[in-house]
Amino acid sequence: MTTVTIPGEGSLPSLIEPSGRGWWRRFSRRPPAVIGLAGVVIVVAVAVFAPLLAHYSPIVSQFGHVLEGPFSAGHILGTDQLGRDELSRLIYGSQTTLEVGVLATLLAMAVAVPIGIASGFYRGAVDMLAMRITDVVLAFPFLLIAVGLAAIFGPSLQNIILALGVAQLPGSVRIARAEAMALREQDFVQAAIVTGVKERVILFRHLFPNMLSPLLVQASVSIPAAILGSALLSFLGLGVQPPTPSWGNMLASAQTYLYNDPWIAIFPGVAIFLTTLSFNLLGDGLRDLFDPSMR
Amino acid sequence: MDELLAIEELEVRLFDRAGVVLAVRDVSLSVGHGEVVALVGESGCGKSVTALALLRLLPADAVVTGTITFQGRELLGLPLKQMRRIRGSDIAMVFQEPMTSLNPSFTIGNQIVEVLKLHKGLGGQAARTRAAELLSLVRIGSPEQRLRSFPHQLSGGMRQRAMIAMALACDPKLLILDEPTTALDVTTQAQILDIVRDLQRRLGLSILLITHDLGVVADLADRVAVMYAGSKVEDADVDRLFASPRHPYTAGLLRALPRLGRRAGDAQQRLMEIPGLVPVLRAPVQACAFSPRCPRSQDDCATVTPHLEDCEPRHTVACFHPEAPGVREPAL
Amino acid sequence: MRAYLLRRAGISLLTLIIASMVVFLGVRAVPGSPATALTGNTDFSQAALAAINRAYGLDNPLPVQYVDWVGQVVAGHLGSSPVTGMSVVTELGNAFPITFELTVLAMLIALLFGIPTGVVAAIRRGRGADYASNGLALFGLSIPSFWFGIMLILLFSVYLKWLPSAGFIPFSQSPGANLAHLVMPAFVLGTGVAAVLMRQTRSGMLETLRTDYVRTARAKGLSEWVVVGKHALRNSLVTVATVIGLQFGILLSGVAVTEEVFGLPGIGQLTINAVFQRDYPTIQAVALLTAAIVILINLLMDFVYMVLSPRVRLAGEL
Repeated sequence: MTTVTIPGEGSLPSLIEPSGRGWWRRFSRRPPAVIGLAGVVIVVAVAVFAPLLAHYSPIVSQFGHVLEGPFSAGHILGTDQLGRDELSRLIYGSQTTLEVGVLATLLAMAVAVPIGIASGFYRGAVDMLAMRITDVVLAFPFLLIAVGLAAIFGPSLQNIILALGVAQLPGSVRIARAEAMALREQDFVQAAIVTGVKERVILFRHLFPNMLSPLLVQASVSIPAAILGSALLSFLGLGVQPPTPSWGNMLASAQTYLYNDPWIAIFPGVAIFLTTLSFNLLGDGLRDLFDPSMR
Repeated sequence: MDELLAIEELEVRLFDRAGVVLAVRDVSLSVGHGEVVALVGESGCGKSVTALALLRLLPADAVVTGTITFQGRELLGLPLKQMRRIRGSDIAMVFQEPMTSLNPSFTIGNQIVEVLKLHKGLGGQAARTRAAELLSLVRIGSPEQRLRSFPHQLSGGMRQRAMIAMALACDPKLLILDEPTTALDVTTQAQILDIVRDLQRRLGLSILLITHDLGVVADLADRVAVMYAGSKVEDADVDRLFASPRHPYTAGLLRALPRLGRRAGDAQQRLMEIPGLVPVLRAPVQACAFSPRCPRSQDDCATVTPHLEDCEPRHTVACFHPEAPGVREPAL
Repeated sequence: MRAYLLRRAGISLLTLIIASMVVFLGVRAVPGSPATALTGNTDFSQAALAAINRAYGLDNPLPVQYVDWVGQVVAGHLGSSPVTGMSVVTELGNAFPITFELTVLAMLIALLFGIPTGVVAAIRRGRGADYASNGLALFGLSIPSFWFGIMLILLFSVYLKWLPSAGFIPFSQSPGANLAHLVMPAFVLGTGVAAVLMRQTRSGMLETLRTDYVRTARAKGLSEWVVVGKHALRNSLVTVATVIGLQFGILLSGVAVTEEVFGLPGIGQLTINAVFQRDYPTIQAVALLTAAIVILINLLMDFVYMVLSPRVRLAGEL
């Protein structure tokens, strides 16, 4: 049996790496992208090292210090309606936010990418089925999906993640599908097909690695969307329940005190905004990095 | 000035990711009334850039110096508002790729009427009638119906003819054809050239023809200017150029032309190519740009830039060691 | 053209049917008996339970129940809310106009702000206006809508006292008051969509401005307004239309929370209340209605796409 060398095997077109050397230089050329990256790193660090960073307990009430404004003694950002330190609550709240945002996106992509690749590569019935599923998912606002899951399985963090993950599916499926369709027509894939390379090999070694950059960009767009979605769901009371802090539920309880003590309504929102903004800036930076016309 | 168009000492600097590109260096060219002048060269020699410079269609950051005189008016200094009055009416241009050069969302009729409305003030039925006339001028059948067609519904040849019709809509004094047949197959090419030749004769058009195809040049041109790496290296009447090319580059181009009728055993059986690639100049050089590839180059070619000089009446060449005056086979 | 539309309509119908099955099964999957879900009671005597099961057809096999249910929905019988006692149709009828007006205003704001900004950003690429527009777009994309709403209330209702913070006055009653109540929520909702539209328009325009046909348009002597506004924009709008369809579903989630923040008794608030009160007939109706609307909007966008794209219109096939 003769071995045939498949063109492209072992020397995949360099769409994976952002064009080799100098990618950091090109990335760092744009300040917003670097700021975004810094922001993401900071938020992740805060979430990971929360117990070390927070001076107070986020859930123990201190009724002697209710609703103190910012810069009061010992509490830089003040306290909330139950006397809990705002800053500590914000720090711990980051854990929920990131956990939900990242897990939902990872879940979505783990499911969506294989579906998308199969859909784009095989076309026909598989494609039709995948597209109809996507359409149905798109027909329901993620809020309804979250509500539905909470009703059926009971409210919990897992269900939020599941609901947001489902909501993110269509986006990633479309990207993976479009890439698979385009790559399928390329010569190196055609060569692989024609020379009888097993399909699974083609999908794993030829198609998937070449999609990593668009998928990475999609992830950096999905995560902020998931974060905003999770904040929204928490705000409505569908996420972690008090006293565990999440930025969303902190905002929800702050509404009642809006007229007299607006600070507890301002800070959680700023936190959400800055986190989402950082991911968006990072995403923009990555997109520019991988965009051939910017090379 | 007798000439319709006179380009003098044109220089164009373009900017890409790597820096500046000297796309056109000291090019002078003229087109007389009713004359067809061909601007010839390989891809990247600056011929299209020259034409775009004429109409001020280069990117905003391009640096253009020199003088371009059209009907006695200096074009490069003209405010854009006045330039726009000239575009499409006094000077019209036909581009290379008819599929992408026509807007896919609008009908042919719409796009032709647009220019009639703009420059001739024609409206409604009058414009549509004139548009249909133009389509039949370029030999497109059922012109009234064709007006309602979208570009993707026409064949490549028809699209190119529609582009020509659109260009002729306002009776331009100068027609610029940028590689008009390059994107078409050979049979369609012949049709288009036929139409252009016919129209030129009938309407007395002055044409600036940009091409790399010497066959097209032989077919249509009265005079030929050969460009290399942004400068003009030879300028002659078409018969003289083909019979007696003086610049080694021109000679090389002609030698590379396949010719019908050669028989096995003939001296020049293989197509002779010119080794190497056209350079992209980023800084002015004191040398002949062609010398690295030139079979006739000598020491002085690498140290001084040759300028255009008369070698015969109406025949200039920029070379220190030009080919001998030739007795070559006339163009087929 | 007809073939294209029929095909898209057929697919939409199929999607709607599948969505309705999802809704149907979803409600049936809720823990506790369907009788509880439908009536809100938990104590039943055997006889009462049997009577309810018979009345609602809960004894029948699922496919039969589904078909019955579809029949009822189509006939307009959506049941009544065990919480308020009102018929669901009435509830929806009261809430819908509010949400409708809010959504329309939000989309108008999004279109009016998003598309021109995108065009300007593309024309002035790399210059101040581009960065400013992009900055605004990032802002709109990153800000949580409910927080934005709260901040606006803080500013305009609490401090400046210019605008009311909650409630709704019908347009027929007082146009001025109606708009005063809706301007902040519509702005909040519209901002997110405007941001997406701005980016999409910008990238679409950048692409079209590089094309050969735009070069031809300039070579014909057309003014820059016409080149951009007619030749370039027309071809960019195609992608924008698709994005609008996709954004609509996300918009509706935002509607719910915006209505909550601004105290607007629309479908969103109806849904949220229904969720917390376990009002399943209402939830079911809203879910179906929402899915139907999103599917319809997407079909509409397919139509717009067809109008904008002659190739599709004439060939009848995508």
